[in-house]
This record gives sequence, structure tokens and C-alpha cells, in this order.
Amino acid sequence: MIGTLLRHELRRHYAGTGVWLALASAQLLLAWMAFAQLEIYLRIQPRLAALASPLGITDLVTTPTLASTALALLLLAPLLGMGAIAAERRSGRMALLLSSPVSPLALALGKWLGQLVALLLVVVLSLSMALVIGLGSHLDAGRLAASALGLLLVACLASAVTLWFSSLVDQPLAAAALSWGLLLLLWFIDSSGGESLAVLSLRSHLEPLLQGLVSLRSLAWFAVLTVAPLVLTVLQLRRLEGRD
Amino acid sequence: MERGDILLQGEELGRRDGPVARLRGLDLELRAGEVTALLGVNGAGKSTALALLSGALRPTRGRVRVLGLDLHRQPRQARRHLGLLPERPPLYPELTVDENLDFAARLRGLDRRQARQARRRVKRQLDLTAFGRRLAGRLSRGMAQRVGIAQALVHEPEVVILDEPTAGLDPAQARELRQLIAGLGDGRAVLMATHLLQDVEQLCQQVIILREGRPVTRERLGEGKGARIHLQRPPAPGELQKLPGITRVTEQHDGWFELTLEAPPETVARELALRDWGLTDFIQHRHDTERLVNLMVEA
Repeated sequence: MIGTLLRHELRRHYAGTGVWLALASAQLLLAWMAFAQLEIYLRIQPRLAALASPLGITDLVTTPTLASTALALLLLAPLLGMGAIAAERRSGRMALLLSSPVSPLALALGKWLGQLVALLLVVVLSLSMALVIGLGSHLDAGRLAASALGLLLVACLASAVTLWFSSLVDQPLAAAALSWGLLLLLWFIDSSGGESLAVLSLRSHLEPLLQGLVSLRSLAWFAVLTVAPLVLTVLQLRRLEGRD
Repeated sequence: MERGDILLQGEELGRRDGPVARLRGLDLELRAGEVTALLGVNGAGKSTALALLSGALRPTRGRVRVLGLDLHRQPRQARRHLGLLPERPPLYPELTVDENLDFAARLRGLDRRQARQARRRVKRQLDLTAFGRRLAGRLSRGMAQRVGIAQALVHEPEVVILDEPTAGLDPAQARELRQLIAGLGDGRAVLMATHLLQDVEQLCQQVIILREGRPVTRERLGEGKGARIHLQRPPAPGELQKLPGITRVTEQHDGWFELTLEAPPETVARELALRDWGLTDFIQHRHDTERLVNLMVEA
């Protein structure tokens, strides 16, 4: 049943032009940023070589591009997922889902995976861009793998948060606004300089991964912030069913 | 299923949200081959009742059994026997009719091959064969409603629940849809919420009226009979109602009365003729239209 819901979500996403436009815009923006980074790198490369600097193309082009991809994921996830449940409630289709033999858990997982897989297209294209850059230079494969893991975790988290907000309201735009609010708060929360806030910060957990460092602490942080909204979504679906 | 078999039973159904009682004490039985109407003004509890009976909402009191399965304890098994058309057809406008039907079938547990076969069958049944590739968002209201019913029937459920199926349709579309509902077959029980006299008159064998979340009237149409009489020297309506076999009297004008009868009409006519009330006309209704009108007004 989860597979049916996943395929259905993907089919819905890719049947509309809006999603294609959003994905294409994000990709254009990321490609433009990658080229800008590459241009800077090519300009300063002779000086770096003269200084025997350890900084290479991975540090100066690939990692900043993938960090921008993470931010793009936070912006795109609410666009893709805002209607996952809110639009079902608004259109009256929720009755079809709730009266069918699908459990709230399966429904939440199917919807979440549908958003996630749609979002992973951005990750795949960004990584492809990094690999293309790597064709003409030497890329740190381990670091690229850790970065890919980081982006996957960001996509998981952003989709889960959006799904939860989408289950709370019946206005997709309200769900998107709430999701952007929370996701950007998590991104910028350590900007105020508070050390204690760094533990909540998405960037402080993503950056080690982009540097190639996979720590249990970061993995646990992402796992908690992905599983918690999913659990809350299941509870909300049960509430909509009138169980709680 | 044999005609008359009980397919769905609601016992003492109730739903309370905080201090608000949405529905109280609804008992009903849906039998194979019968269409039951749920009548009531907006806010009377019809939608809550349909949501509880379709499994979209849990009751806070009572239970629902579908073919003997408890809808809320064995939801996966029980829901396979239910088909629901909500107030608005639950269509995804960006997907084609075929995709919408396939999704509805898969949701009800059919595998891919079964879903494809079921889709073909239901499209033939509802005359939708030419519309398979059309986007659901581009269908007319009547056609969308037809696809909504196809979604409710795609897995061949024994119990079909329809929320205002003919609302918003033009007369021709409504007539077509009524024919379609009437042809759903002997093996199915249909429950429909409606506001329309024609729906009840042409389709239903049972009527339940809800008011403020409570069932206030339950009528089995066709069991009782009606008659229109004229008396030259009419008594007070209360006197008329005391006669055996008369359950309701509605005074009209110039000595005309509408009667609802529980006894055979000839028995009541004999009783009336024995009184010195000057019975000049006794017109037996061949249909329960007057009762239906009264029920609708009551609702």
C-alpha cells in the first residue's frame, strides 16, 4: 500500500507543470552558482598552487554548491509537499483515503516517501553536476558520499516537517508558510551566535557531513527531526479519523 | 448476497467532539437490494453519520458491522466491502479518469492486474469507456459525479454510501444518475444522503430523518399507504385519527384530508362510511408521494 501511495504521489507531482518549473528553476540557480564558484576557483587556482594550499576544487566549488543545494531543498520541500494532506482535506478527498483500508502509518509513510523521492531529483542532479566537475579534476569521493548522505538527510527532514504541517491545516499555502518558517529557523538559528543554539542548528549538523565527517551525533539529530514530525503526522491522521 | 440480507448494521452510533454531540443513538440496518435515504437539514448530522458508517470517522459510541465485520476493530477487512462517494467526487484533477480509477482500486486492496480489469468493467458499467484518458479536472459536474460513483464501485463493494449524489446536477444528469443508482443490483445496499424528493421517491425503500444529530423518524416506504378523502360533515382531525388504521391526518381545505394508513385502505374506508361524516371521496394513493412530501418537510 505504501508503494501505491508513493507512486501516486510521484505521478501527481510530475503530472503538473508547477513542479517541473520549480525543479528547473532550482537547478538553473544551482548550476549558475556552481559555475560562479568554478570561475572564482579557476581565477585563484595559480595563487593556491603557489602557496601550496590544501584547498582544492572539492572545498571551493563542490562543497559550496552542495551547501546551496541543501538550502534549495529547504525551500523546495514545502512547495512540493504543502498539499500532501492539506489539499486532500480541502478537496474532500481525505474521506476516500480515511475510508479505505490504509492505516494512518502507511498513509503518512506513502505520502512522505512520495515527497522525498520527488525532492531527490534535485539531489541527484546536484551530485551529477559535482561529478561532471570531477571529470576534469580530482574529487574527494568519500567527502562527496558524505555530502550526498547529508543532502539525503536534509531532504528527509524537510519532507517530514512539511508533511506534518500539511496535516495540521487545510490550506496548502499555510502549510508551506509554516514549513518554511520552521525549516529556515533551523537553518539560521545559530546565526545569533549563541553556542547553546548550535545544537538545534541544521547547518551545524550538516557542515561536518559536507566536510566528509559522518558523526553519530549528526545522524541522530537528523533522525530525531525526521521521525518526530512523521510520528506527529500519524497522530494527526488518527485524530482526523476520530481515534484520539 | 440474497435480496434482504443485512449487509450493514449501525448500533447506537454516536459521535461527540468535546461538548458537541454530532450524532446520537443512530440505529440502522442496510439490506441487500435496498436504497436507504438519510434526510435532514444542514447540520442535522447526515455527513457525520455517513463518515461513521463509511469508516472515515470513528464513533465515540456504538459500533458498525459490515457483513458481520466490526468496522473499527477489523477496519482493513470491513472497508473492502464499502464504497463511498463523498459530497464532492474525490478526484485528482491533474490525473486522468483511468489513473483516478486505478488509484481508488489499489487503495481498496486490488493488485495491479485486478485494478486494471476492475477499471475496464466499471467504465463499461457506467458508460465511461470513452473518457479514460481525459483529465479529471476537465470533466463536467455530471461526468465527474459519474467517475466518483465509478470510484466507489470499482472494487465491487456490497455497501455503497453516497453523499448527495444528484446535488448540483441538471435534471437530465440527475435522472441518468438515478437510473444508474437504481441499477446497482440486488446484491448491494445503498445509503444516500439527499435533499431531493425525486431521489427518495424513485430510489428509496427506507427513509431515516435526522434532526440535531438524532434520528427522529424512520419510515419503511411502501409498507404504509396513503389516501385522500372528502367529508361533507368533517369531524375534528383528532376524531379522525382515533379511527383504527389511521396513523396520521393532515387537514387540507373544504373537507379534504390526507390520511396515512397502517390498515388496508378498504377497512378504513368501511370505518369512515359507517360514521355520519358524509364520505364522498376516498382516493387511495398508489404511491407514498404525500407521505414523502410530509417527510421531506419534516426533515
